[in-house]
Amino acid sequence: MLKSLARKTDEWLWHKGFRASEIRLLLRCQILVSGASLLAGVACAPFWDWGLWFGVGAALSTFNFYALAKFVQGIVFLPYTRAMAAGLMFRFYGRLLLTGLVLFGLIVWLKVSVSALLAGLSTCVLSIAAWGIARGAGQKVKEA
Amino acid sequence: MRKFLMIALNTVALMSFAALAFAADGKMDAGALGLTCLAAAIGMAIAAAGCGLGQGMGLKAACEGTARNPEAGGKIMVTLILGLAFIESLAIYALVVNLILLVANPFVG
Repeated sequence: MLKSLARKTDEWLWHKGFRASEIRLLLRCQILVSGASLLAGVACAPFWDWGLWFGVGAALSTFNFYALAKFVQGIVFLPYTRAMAAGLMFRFYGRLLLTGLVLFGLIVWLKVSVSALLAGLSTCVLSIAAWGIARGAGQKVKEA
Repeated sequence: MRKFLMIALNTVALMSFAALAFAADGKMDAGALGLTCLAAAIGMAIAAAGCGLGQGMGLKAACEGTARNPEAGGKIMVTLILGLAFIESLAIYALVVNLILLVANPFVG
């Protein structure tokens, strides 16, 4: 089931224009991790809300990574037009504004657990670091 | 340069301890509030400047690398995306810490 879910996510990312396989792999892992943690958090929310806010942080981190990857791919691959540049800029700053507003709402209005939020936001960095370590280890094995 | 850095860091440390001392009784007076706002503003400014510099340098190196060797563009793009994601997460952490300082300060009742 997990393999089929991963394959479907991979296909969806391909259709969305993510052509670099490493980025697709990372995004796929990140989407699956954040989806699983969000589902687990919603299930545990009545008696342990830390998991829910962890899932929300992970989802926010995934959204940011997804949008950033799409933005950079847009710059590199799309032919330059004024409308394209304006659209990319609008989406980039819109994403930053949205992230700021969501964080403000979560911390100030909902008063969520900041440790949970920060742990969720760190999932993206952790998965990139894990991917880098795994890749380095794979290269060493190949060289040996 | 080193002397100036030491003086600046000591001043910032003293100012932050003063803010904590003012806020210890559960209410924040105007002085402590002002210092907290100043600390948050300076913190966010430093974070934004550092992240902007880092992203700019990364982008510049990626553009140069792709211009010199267009065939390596795909690999450079992957590294660029990962680097930008790393740097941007630091700015988001700084934003969270500043929001905590300003509106969800644990030292204020």
